[in-house]
Amino acid sequence: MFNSKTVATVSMVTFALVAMSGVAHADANVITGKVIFKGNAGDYKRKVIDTSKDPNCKKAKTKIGSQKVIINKKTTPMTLRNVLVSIKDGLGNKMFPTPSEPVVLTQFGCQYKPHVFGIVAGQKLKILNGDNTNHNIHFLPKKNQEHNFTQPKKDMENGKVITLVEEDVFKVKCDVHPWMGCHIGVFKHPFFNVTGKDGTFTLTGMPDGTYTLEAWHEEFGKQTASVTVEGGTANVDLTFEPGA
Amino acid sequence: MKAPSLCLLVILAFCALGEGTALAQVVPDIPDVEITGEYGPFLPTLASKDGGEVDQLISILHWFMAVLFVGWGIFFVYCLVRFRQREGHQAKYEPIKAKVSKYGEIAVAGFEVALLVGLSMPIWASVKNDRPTEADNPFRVRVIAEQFQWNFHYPGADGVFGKTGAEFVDTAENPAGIDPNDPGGQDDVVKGELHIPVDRPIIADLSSKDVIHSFFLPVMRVKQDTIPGMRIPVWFEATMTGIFEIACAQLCGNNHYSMKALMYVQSEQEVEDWIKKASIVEEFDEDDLD
Repeated sequence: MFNSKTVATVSMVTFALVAMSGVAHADANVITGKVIFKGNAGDYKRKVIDTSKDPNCKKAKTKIGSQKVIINKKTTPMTLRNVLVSIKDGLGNKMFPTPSEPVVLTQFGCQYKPHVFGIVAGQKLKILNGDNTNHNIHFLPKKNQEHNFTQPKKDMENGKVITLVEEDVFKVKCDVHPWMGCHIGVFKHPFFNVTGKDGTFTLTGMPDGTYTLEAWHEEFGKQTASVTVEGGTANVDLTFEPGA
Repeated sequence: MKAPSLCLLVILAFCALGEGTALAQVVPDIPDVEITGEYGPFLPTLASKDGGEVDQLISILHWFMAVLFVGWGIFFVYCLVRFRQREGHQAKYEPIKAKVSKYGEIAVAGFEVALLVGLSMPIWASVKNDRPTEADNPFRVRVIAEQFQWNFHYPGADGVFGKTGAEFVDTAENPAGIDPNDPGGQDDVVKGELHIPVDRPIIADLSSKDVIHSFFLPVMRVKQDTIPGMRIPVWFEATMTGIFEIACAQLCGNNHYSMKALMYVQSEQEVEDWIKKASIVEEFDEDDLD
């Protein structure tokens, strides 16, 4: 249907347009690693949260635990959960497309799920109420717009589109249930991940280069590490050592 | 039927309708919890030793208010009829300067002041001055208000409240801000439920972490503001066991309506057992559903 000259011309024009727009291609690079905890895990026992203020909470979930510090004691070395790991430096002025799928934040058993998560600037945020009780979602951002609204009924979701535009890590709390809190990290790129139960993280699709990774934890602060990735997988671990 | 009689009839009908009528939705919909007592448009169940005096005061004041309301209502209707616009009558715009009406107004005002001050001050003085002493073996609890939750701090088995400080406050794990290094606070209990013994004086020390709230126990006839920076004691004595509602009676923010808690009035042994059980810090098992 098309001759080789036409295809070549179209390809060159497309490449030129993409290059001019500054939008980077997705690459096959992967950075993996774990977040290590060094210290006395006994100082950070998880407590059961008293939700007796609202019996509807217990009705949804009989028991919820504190989420501030969750240490995985089963691995050697011990690892830390709910750490937000992202690329801090090394991407230059490259721009990356905003995902069309929204990030979903759920309230269930009077607890936010996920407890820590990242979102790309401009990406939509959907907030759901899975509890048969009233929740009041209150954003406490440092740079982005503040939001403060209620979801009084089960299965409600935010009617107003919420997008966050500035790079920021901030807390969201519930004004009805004081123990409820979660943290959102906003990034201009999609290279972030939160450590799971095994304390590991995976960042995918960044271009070749040398990067500074930043690990953020709500109790222990920040740690950074440098990593170089070129056409493959790189591994790097970050360590939190409270009191060191 | 003449207008004043009709007016009185309407008032009496409202009184009769409300007496003893329980409103189903006064108490919030709490699953698996049955609130004790009757909650109608008038005073709820009385479960307090000294609440009767408050009821008596409220009752007397309302009856006097009813007398004043009816009296002034009759006078109002009389004026409407007597001084209505009609032929041959010219309106007068100067006020009446008769001494009778002047002294009458002063007498009514004085009577109302005597009612409020003379009846309420002795009860208020009793509330403030006749606090239970240590000889009465009072049960002590601290009540810490915050938007939009009540926290109840019990001293535990040692009877000593642990030291507290704002720097130790964690809304999820340590809402009362107990110093984790203070031995006196090791067995302290902080919960969102109030458990108190029946037939024993209770002293509750009220404080607030943020704004002004009001600790309201309808069945105990207790209502006292909690003010940031102050510790205000209230006392009462429960006379019947049951589960009762605690509310916030001071508009404290956009979710003020949800600032409720439950008060369990139980036997000494039941309260002791509950505190003992609650003082065991429950560790969240990693295998629990998360």
